[in-house]
Amino acid sequence: MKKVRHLMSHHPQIVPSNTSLSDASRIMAERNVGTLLVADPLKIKEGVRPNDLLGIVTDRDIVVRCVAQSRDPDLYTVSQAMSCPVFWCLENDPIMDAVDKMQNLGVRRLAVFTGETEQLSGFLSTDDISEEDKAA
Amino acid sequence: MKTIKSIMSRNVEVVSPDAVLTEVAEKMKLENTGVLPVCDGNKIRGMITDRDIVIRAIADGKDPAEIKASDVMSRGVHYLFEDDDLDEAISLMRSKRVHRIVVLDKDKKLSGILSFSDFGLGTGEEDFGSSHLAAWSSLALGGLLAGLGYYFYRQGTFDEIDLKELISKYRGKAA
Repeated sequence: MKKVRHLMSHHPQIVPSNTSLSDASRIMAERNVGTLLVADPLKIKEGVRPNDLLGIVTDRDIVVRCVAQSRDPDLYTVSQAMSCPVFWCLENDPIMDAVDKMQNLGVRRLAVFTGETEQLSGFLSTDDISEEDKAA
Repeated sequence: MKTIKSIMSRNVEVVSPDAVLTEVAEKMKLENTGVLPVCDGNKIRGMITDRDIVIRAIADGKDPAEIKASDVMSRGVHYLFEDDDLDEAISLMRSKRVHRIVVLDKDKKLSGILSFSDFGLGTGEEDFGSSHLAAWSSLALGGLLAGLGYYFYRQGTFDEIDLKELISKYRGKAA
């Protein structure tokens, strides 16, 4: 049976909550990602645990919540454009459990933590999961 | 053979190449979409996504009220013709994980948009009914190869003549 760790994206990008959307856009461009996790700046230094995640911001959020409203991306921060709360799962959860969780919660993304130490280790999006993966 | 024309959406929202990015963003919000065709009249010039706005304008510190759609759009457009086979369209969209594809008429003018919601498949992430599964398995390898070749041919990425031959070869076998 496939586990979350087989399909998740590794190296999740976390940004402090006071990051401007123009900086967030640059990070998305440089790291080639469309999603950033948002946490308190102090917690990022200590190591982020499940309850420390404040929200999740995507390229689409920047367009819809900032550009479409003619707001200045230099002044508007990720904490003002993010969706929250962030739901999460564990690396060793079966993929079907994660899919059920996303469907029940009506979300497309989950943060992934390691089982033992609860370290943030990745990120799971519905786009990473094919029909075959659900069956496997 | 069921064609794309029979189920595609005809009232397609488009943006002009001269539209500034704040306008494009407003339209994306209003239409609840992340991608819009960029059209000069009926003629398609490119596609613009929410990501294009972020990566090619905001990340570069450009003012979205001054940058035009034509400055950040992608010019290579994936498209199908309205008389193309629907099964083939589904296989292309599934294999490429594309949720929407532009549909053109014979004169290569924008005629509609085909999206997963048009055939009741949602975003392609929900469970498939057994009838869909049966349809899928019947497509088999030949269909997939022809589909892929056809896809790249339409993208103009590969050598068109070779792919035309490849497609006719597989179509000949299927017939």
